[in-house]
Amino acid sequence: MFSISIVLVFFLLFRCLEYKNLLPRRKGWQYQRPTKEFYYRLTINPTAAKIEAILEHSSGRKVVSASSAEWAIRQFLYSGRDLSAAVNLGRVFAERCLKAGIVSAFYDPNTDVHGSEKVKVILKALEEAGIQIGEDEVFEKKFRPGINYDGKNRLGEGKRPDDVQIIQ
Amino acid sequence: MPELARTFEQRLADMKLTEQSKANNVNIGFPLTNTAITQSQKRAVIRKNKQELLALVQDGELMIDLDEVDAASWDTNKREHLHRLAVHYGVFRDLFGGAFFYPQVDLEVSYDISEEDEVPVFHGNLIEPSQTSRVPNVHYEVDGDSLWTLLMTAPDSHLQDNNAEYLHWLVANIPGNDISKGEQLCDYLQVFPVKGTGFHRYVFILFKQEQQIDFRDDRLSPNTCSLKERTFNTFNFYERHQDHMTPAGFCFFQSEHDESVRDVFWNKLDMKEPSFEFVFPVPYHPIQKKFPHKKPFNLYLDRYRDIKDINEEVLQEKLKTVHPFKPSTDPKYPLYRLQLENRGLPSWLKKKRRNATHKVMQWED
Repeated sequence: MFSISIVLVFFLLFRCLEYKNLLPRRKGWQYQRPTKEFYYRLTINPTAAKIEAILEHSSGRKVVSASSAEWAIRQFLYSGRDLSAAVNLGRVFAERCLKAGIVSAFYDPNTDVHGSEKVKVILKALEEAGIQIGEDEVFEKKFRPGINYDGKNRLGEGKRPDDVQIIQ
Repeated sequence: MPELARTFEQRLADMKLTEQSKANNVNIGFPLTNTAITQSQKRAVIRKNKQELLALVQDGELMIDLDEVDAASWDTNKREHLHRLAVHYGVFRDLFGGAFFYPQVDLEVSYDISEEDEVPVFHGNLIEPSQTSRVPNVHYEVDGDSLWTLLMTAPDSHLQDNNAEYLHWLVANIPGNDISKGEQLCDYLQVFPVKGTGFHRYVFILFKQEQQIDFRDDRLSPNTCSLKERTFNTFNFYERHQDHMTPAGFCFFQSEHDESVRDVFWNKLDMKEPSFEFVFPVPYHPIQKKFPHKKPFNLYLDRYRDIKDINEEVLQEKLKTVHPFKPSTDPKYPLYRLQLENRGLPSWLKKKRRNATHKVMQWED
């Protein structure tokens, strides 16, 4: 109806493209482990002293983290490393992820701790909070043969549309 | 030439100048101090827990209060976590040119949806624009008589300039907690992320003022609906008032297009609603050669054909199987029939018919 259609490349922020699964992922590490083909990776690390859950971005930056060694969490727990600690850590971590606007995270099952109860319990807490474990495929445009000789192919080609409005 | 070439000292001096001119990695806020809890205090709490919580843990029913954890984490590590998230979302980079600050005050902003429900603003959570139509409730804990400034900007929303922001709300000289008693320099406007541009960030920043500041230059006309007037730059705003003001808290949310955005454009801003489309990177076509060496001729020529000719061919193939009066009949076992019919045909024709049957390339509907 009363709308202008402007075709423009809008690289606002990489976070924007990540939400739409449009940003290309790091694919060059096909035969190496651990894989780097993700936007956000979830790492759960239950050690002898504590249980840690970290959400990292593929650039290496830690985005959200929670550990049962943090005094804010530890002061309410019986033990820093048992199953109930894992359950509660999962709840705290899931809440922090939701507050940070995390929608999905890649989880690497090729780790030593994958099948353990503590890890399962944390993953369950994340799923209950609504965070998808495992990211969707990147949306890539499939190749179609042919060139449009009459219209626009590249950015900037073609004339400016007539319905341009000056913003006051 | 000696007149143009710089000496080593000159080059060092120039490097230092460029480093200084960037505001990178400068803490413009208050210093970060965490309250220290002694080891003996911690051990006392843990000993107490071992007695009190044993029964709950054995039944598997120990569920800690998440709000209490959040409140306790403010004094320990929440400020560093908030700083980390703001860096990740590029809040400091886009608003302050790289200079950062650790929040001192827990800024709690929430939007009322109905009488009972409210949507809080945390650090990057997703909110719908229709939920932001009313002025939000702002709360922060404050000591004594102090003056504050609250700012709400949209660094991603500007329709013409990538480096400019739109000012949604600016209240200055707020005595303590009470936003209603502050000076409304810019009236609140609902969030309007444009269609097709994904999630926009909306940042609330709380500044602590040392004294009453005269904001004459920053006052906008009441209830402005002019986007030109609302064009804003946090860096320039803070640069002018940095002597009497320090950033003390922030929170931000993300928002995507919604039907209420159309109402904002039509009714409040009095303009047509713009819409954008994501443009994929264009495939690279090298210059066509007359005698391409070792290239499959059918795929090579198809690449340079006019799209109109290709679409015409696809349409003609489709129309062969469509009858205007009879219902459409999909052939049974199309891949088997393809295998039979393809026998004895040249390879390029087999490939073409295979693509058509599998609905790939130009035959994708």
